[in-house]
Amino acid sequence: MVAKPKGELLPGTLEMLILATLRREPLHGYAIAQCIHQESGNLLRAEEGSLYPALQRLLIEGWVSAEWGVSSRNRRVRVYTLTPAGLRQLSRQMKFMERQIDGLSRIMRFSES
Amino acid sequence: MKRVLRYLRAKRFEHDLSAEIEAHLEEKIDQFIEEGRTPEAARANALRQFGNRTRVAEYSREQWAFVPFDEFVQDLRFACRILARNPAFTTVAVLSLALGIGANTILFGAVDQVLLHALPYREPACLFAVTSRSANHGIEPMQVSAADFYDWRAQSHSFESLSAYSSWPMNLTNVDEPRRLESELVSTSLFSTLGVNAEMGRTFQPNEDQEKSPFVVVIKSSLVTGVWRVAANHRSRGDAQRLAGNHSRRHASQFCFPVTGC
Repeated sequence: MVAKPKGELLPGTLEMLILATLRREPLHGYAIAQCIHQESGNLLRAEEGSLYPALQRLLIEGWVSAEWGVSSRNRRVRVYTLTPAGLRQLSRQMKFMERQIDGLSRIMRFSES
Repeated sequence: MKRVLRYLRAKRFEHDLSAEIEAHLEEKIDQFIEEGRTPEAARANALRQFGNRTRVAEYSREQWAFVPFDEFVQDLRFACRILARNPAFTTVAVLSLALGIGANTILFGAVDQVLLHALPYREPACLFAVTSRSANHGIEPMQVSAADFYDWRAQSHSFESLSAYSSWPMNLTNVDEPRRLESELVSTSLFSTLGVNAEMGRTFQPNEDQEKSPFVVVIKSSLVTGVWRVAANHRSRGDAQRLAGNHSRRHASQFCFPVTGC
């Protein structure tokens, strides 16, 4: 296993974040990492050590598809696109995550009161 | 199967992955340069952030699950090398494996045929072989005399039906190559006792075991198609001229069936 540096994502959330990022538009690996970093207000960071294995898992599951394309800096990159199956998986995962967060915040409020 | 396909695509996949990771790094360096760092600093920083490229590639590769297959192939090669280096050990190992597997196969084949497969008769569980025993000499089993058989058949109430058979080899002549046939002398009721019927023609009729009745045989199909070579004639009623057995007809059953492959 690749050692995960501090400030890393919660386990299992990276795949969801990738799918969510790809919902707006197809992106290449680096752009996905950038997008997650920026759109989270620099709070989240998708480390390369986890990003590429996660992308492979998504490819295997058929939730994303990959094609060679050209980046904005005119470099040959592999561009990932969300598949319909990936979209369904995303909504499943988001529902699951919402419940988790809801549960977590209830516990936090309860411990404060 | 899926894994094997993936394995076949592995080369292509590896190339894609390393190209992809390289592109990622370059993008990152560009980004740092755009942010105002020197190319050297940008590269160093990007490399540091990326971490161990080989490890990232390997870990990504593991997701495709052909690593176990890879390792298996390596182990297999290693095993072959070791075996080739110790021919004596290899020979002994292979021989003992061969003997073990062979013995097991034979044993299972026999058990399978004898114990697991029911006899191809109507009610195999209700079939019994009845023999005599010599009280004086302790010989068992002994052939049953014809007289005993008739007595049993007349007096026994334990069985629905009793039939007799006795080994009765015959010669097949008037063919290209005369042959010795394994056959049996049987009572007419044998086929109905066993609950089987002839594939072609008929089996014996009750009156056909009388002293003066013609010589009738039931033959197996391979004989019809093979040595016998009689055109489409249905031959379950045999041709007496061609079969010559022991002519001393000691008892009245004059019907024969081949034992092998019956």
